[in-house]
Order: sequence, then C-alpha cells, then structure tokens
Amino acid sequence: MSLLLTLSGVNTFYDRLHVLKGASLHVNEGEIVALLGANGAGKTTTLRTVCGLLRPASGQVSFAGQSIVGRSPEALVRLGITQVPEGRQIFGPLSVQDNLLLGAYGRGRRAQRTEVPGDLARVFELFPVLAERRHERGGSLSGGQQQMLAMGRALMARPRLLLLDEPCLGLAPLVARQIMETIVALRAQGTTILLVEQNARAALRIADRGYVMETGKVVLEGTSEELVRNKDVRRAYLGKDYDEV
Amino acid sequence: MAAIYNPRYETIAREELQQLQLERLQATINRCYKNVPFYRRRLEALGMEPEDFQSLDDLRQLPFTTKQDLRDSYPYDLVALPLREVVRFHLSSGTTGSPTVIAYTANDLAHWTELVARNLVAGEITREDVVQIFFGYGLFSGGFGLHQGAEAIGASVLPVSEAELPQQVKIMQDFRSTALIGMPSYALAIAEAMEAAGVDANSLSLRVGLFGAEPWSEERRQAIEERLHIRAYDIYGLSEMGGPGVSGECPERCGLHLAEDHYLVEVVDPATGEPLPEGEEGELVFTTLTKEALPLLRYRSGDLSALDSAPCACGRTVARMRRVCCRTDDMVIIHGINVFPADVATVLASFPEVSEHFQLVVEQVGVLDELEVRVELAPQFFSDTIRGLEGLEQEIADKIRANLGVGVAVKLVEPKTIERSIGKAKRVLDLRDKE
Amino acid sequence: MAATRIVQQVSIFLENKSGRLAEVCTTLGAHDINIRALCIADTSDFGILRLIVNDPAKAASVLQQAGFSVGQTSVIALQIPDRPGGLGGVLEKLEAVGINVEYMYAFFVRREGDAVVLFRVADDVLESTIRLLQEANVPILSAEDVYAL
Repeated sequence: MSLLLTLSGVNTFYDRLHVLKGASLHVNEGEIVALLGANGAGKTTTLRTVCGLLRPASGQVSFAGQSIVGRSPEALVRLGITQVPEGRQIFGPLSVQDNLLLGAYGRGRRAQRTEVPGDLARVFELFPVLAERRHERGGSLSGGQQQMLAMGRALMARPRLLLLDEPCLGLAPLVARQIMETIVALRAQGTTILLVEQNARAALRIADRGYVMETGKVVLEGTSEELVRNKDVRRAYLGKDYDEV
Repeated sequence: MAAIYNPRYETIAREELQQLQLERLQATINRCYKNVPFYRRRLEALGMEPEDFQSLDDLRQLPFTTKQDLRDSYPYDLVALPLREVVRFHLSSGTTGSPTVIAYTANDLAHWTELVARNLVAGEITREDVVQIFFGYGLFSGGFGLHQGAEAIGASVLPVSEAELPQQVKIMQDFRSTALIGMPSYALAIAEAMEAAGVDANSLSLRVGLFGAEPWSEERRQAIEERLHIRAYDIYGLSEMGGPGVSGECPERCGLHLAEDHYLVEVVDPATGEPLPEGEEGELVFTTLTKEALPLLRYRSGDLSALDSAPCACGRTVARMRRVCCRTDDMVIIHGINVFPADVATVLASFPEVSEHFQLVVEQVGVLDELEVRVELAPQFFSDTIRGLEGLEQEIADKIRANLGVGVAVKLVEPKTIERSIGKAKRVLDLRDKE
Repeated sequence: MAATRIVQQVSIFLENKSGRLAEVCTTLGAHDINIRALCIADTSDFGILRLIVNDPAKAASVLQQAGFSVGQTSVIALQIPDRPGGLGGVLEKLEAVGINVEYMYAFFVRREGDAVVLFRVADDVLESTIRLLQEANVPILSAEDVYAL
C-alpha cells in the first residue's frame, strides 16, 4: 500500500477565518477514506484545499510523492485529482452525453480520439440510467441521476483520486445506497476515493478508514470498525441514543 | 522471513509511519484538550492551543507527564470519558495508598490485544502452541494482556496465573506446555522446582518463553534458557501505556521492536529533559497515539534505554529499544510489585521507634530478588529485649506488606550508620548482577 | 523504701559488627564511667548490650551523643549465697507466684562472699517482686550500693 495523498499541518483561511487548523491526513492508493464531522467542521474546505480551489497558508499537501501546494485546479485534474462538488453542479441545458464529454475536456487531443469513447462507454456501463437518457437535458434528470452524472463526468477525467463532497445529500435512501455501491465499484476498478459524507453510517459502511473533524482539526482517526466502535462517534454521528450507547 | 503478525504496520515505510504518527498525535492532543481536564488546564496554563502542534517536533513544547501527575489525578482527572463508558480497568501494582488507574474502551482493548499478538508472534509463538501464562491475572494488566494476545493468535492458553510451583510443573507436564509466559524470576523458580522434583527438562515439551514485567540480565536469560531448554524472549510494557505490548524482541534479539504506530517514543536526558540523539541512552518518554480512555502525553517512564531505527534483519521497520536494565528513579520491582522508596518511607514514618533514615537493599537470593529494608533505630527509642526488637522488625515488615503488597525483610541498624546524602538520598542499594 | 531497690541498667543496641563493643567500652572509659556488670543478648543481625555502670544517667547521655541507641531498664540486684541451690531457691520462689524472669546475669565482684545477680522482671511486677523477695529474706541491694560496687 502506498501513500497517494498526504496533508501535514495544513492551515487554510477564508479571509481571516481560520478554517483548517493544522489538519493532517492521508489516503493510500486504492482506499476509500471518509471524512466525517458536523457542518462547518472543515470537511469541504479540506477537499477544496486538495483539489486546488483553496491555497493553504501553511503546511504540506503532496500527491503521488510531489508537493501540490499552489497548483491550479486544472493542473491537478491533469495530475489525477478530480472533485465532485456538493450540489452536483452539472450543466442543465447540456445533454447527459455532453456533460460527460466535458469531463474529459482537459485530456489531450489524441486521448479524445483514442481513449475518451471507451471511457464514455465505461461510464454508461457503470450508470445504465445515464445511457438510457444520454441525449436528454441534464436539468431534466432526477437528483440521484444528476449525482450519477456528476460522478460520471468526474470519471471522464480518469482520476487517480476522486474527491466526493456529500454525494448522498438530498437523495432518497434507495438512491443513496446505489451511489454508495457505485463508489465501492469504483474502488474495485482502482480509483482511490476521499469521501465527505454527512450520512456517517453509510460512509463508514463502505470506507476503509475515516477521520473525524471538529472545528478545523482532526480529532479521531481509525479504521471504519474502530470509528463505529468509538462511543463519541456513535453518539454524534451514528444517531445512537445516549441510552443505547 | 520470520512470521510477522501485522506486516502492514510492522514493516511500514518510515515516511508513512511519520505521517501516521503526526495525524494520530494531533488527533490525540485535540481530544486531550477537549476531554481531559488535566491536559486542558495544563495547555491553558501555558497559553497553548492544540493547533500549536503541527509537526512531530512540536510535541517537545509540551511538559512531561509524571507518575506523580497520575497519582494526583486519581481517579478521574486523566480519563478522557465518563467511567461508565470504560469497559475495563486495571490498576498499577504496588501502593494501596495512591494507585494509578488504567482504563480501556473497546477500541483500546482491541489495540492492546493486537499489540500483544505482535509480540507473541515475534517471540515465535504460533497457534499450535500450548501457552502457560503465569503472570498474575487480576488488577495487574500482565495476565489478561498476554492472555488476550495469545487467544487472538489461536494458541491454546493455560491461564495458570500465580499457581504454586509444584502445580506449575505438573501442568507443564500434563498439558505438554510449549511456551511459558511470565516474570523471569518466577521462570527460574519454576526451573528450580522442576529440578527439585527430578523432572528432566528434556521430558517436557517446552520450546520458547516470553518474559517481562521486571528487568532481567543476559545472565539470567542464559540461566532460563539452559535450565528450561527454551529460547527466552524479552517483552516490555508499562501499565500506564496499557500493560504489555509496548515492545518485544524478534528472533534476531537485538533490541525490542516498538509499536510505533501506537506509541510515539522519545529518549530524553533524565536530568535536563532534553531529547537525545538516536543511539544514546536516556529515559524513555511515551505518548499514546490511539488510546481513547486514557491518552497520555510525554509520559516519563523512568526506564533507561536507547533507540535504533535502522531496519532489522527480521524485516520489521519499527524502531528497536535496548533492553531496560536500569531506572532513573529508585523504584525497584520485587516479585512483580513496583516498590517506591517514598512509599516505604511513609510506612516507616508511622513507627516512632525508628528514624527516617533507611535504605532498600536488593539482593538475589536463590533465583528470586529479595528486598531488605534497613532502617535506623531511633536514638532514644528501643526495646530492651531481643523479642521486642524482632517483634518491631516483624511489625514493620507486616505493615509494608499490608500497604505495598510486597514481602520484605526488615533489619534494624544503629543510628548514623546509613549514608546521608545531600539532595536526593540514594535510597536503594542494588547488589544484584547488572548486565 | 522500694524505690532505691530498683537499679537502672543501661541497654545499648549494637549491630553485629566487630568493634562496636570495644567502642562502647572506650567511650565510657573516656568519660570515667566504670562498667560493673554486663551481658550481651544477640541474634544473627544485632545484639543488646546490658550494662551496670557507676553512673547510669551519664553513661546513657554520653553513649547517645556518641551515636548509639540507648535506653535504661529497671532491674533488681540480689545477693545470692554462693552455694549450689542458692540461685535455684530464689527462682523457685518467683516461679511459685508466677513471676517470669526475663533474663539475669551476674556481677564480676562478690559482696560479703556472696554472688550478686541482676534480675529483670516486667515493669508491672517490679514492686511486687521486690516485696516478695524481702518477705522471703532475700537480700536486695540498694541502687547506690550497686553503683558503688
């Protein structure tokens, strides 16, 4: 198992607001790592720092052995880091297929000819419902389908590391489960995943390891079994009653 | 390559280990600040916040945690969660006057078990072994710790605890024990009992042994190996870190491999507290990285050792520590009990017939270590009869046993015969072989 | 006057190391204190040196200053006829009334041809022992006599 992503002592600010306070975490190749925590804990900020949308004031971020602090998001996509942001953000007026092709935009002209069609086929295989609706407007899809579309688009960039921000937000339980199963299938295909998810129970079910964040700091780290066994996690994030725990 | 229980972490790349240690250290400090009153007060008093710790080196900004801190915080002040959420307690051996509490959550127990399993596998124990554990089972963490680890490996476990010597021998024979686990001095006592009963070591099935909970010399190791016909491995732990499982020898036997993914280990100068370069002997200081119920930051163990982080021929990449032979303070371990001179002083203070000047003399008597408390008779106070004086010696010994849990001999000596020293009195005279 | 029948014996705690006994004697000698009688009770580790001296209070003080652990114990000095059965007779009388003799030892010198023996009994039977012996006409020396022997 090798280190794919590491953060060491990362401090990120929104203006003067100190949002990430020396956060450290890592993701090994082929893992699903979950980031848990309440709203405002710094989870999304962490993802945005990793994919280049935010620049840390101090600390180290490395990907595949090289430092990536200060690199642009586009450069990072080319390196293999792609984010699926919260709220999906697909292009409503464009067709499903065009949304997906846009995801491969950054890849070279040769790739467009030789690899992208194959990748598109694979995304349709992963998400059959997108295949059925390939020519429909993205905006006409249901919430769950849009989430799949957003993920499919990210996959078109052939990421080594996929950052998922609340993939199940606002989705019906059955659909959420499908999304989670898809994430597991992605791992099986060799994609490494860093997952932010409010639904801690669902996240820990599929994650290998997790980190719990509070007020910009990591307070707990462990395998998903360890996190599930931890009383504080059960109480705060798994919805167990005080009596039950 | 010899068997390794958890290759993922025992042969981890050091760069990855350091990242893991940093994450776990920060998480631990964050939790301590949030949940442990003792540490929050300490950080606040220093004007420090958890986010001030952003690298492994930053740990040095923290003051040490000492045994006295643990005593002073008895029972709750260092526990990070409500006691009802703790699933196991152990107590450190020794004083009833000021015990130190060790608490475990379910995760703590799982980790503890795994770390002991690592030591057992490093000590050649497999699921085929019949393991005879003669560490005490009870509030002392040794028996249970080794038991859990041995069960996790799938070995057949005989929890004989501190059964009488003849029974230990009988069980060895009847159950064809292949592995012995306990204190080295007790192993020698078993060897002696075995020889006295005319039992030939060749007739037994003993193969290997893991021994710890007290310092033991290479000479003692040889004696154990010769008399019991086993390979003897050293294991190390301290109750404050949860018990056994902190480190253990591998077949190379050039140091004990530390569980560096669970403990951050520093070596400091005992007098100044300054960190020492690798390889130099100093006091081992431990910081827990994964403990939930009782996280400890920079705990001074009082044990002297040196570190070596070069990879070992066995394949493990985690650092090794030299076998501990000495301590920084005057604590001695007798029959598995931690004896602090200060606690003996407290008992002696309750006897007006003796002065406050005393000395602890440790000698090897047969195979076991024995402690003699030499104390000066007060100049004006004594009994005119031999019986009275011997009675006094016995009374003092009885009270020491009652309070400290250890049997000692007491010898009255004339006034002014025990060396006075300026500053810290040299309370302990160790007459054993050091190696 | 029973009070002066009680003799003060000086008892000293000594470790079983060579030279301790000599040091006691030397210390006392340096202060002009004469040892009249002595006995040593010992175990493997330590001993109790019991002395009758000419000035018990001074002896105790001098020895304490020299660093010894010292105490004073009350004993009785009896004049015993120097013939077989002399001592036995006295002991029988004490035993008859259940008085236990913890230890005893003899003086170097004689008094009027008789032996002088020091007896130690428990403090709480000291008075009754003295009375018993007086009624039996066993001569008990006074303290001053003993110190002056």
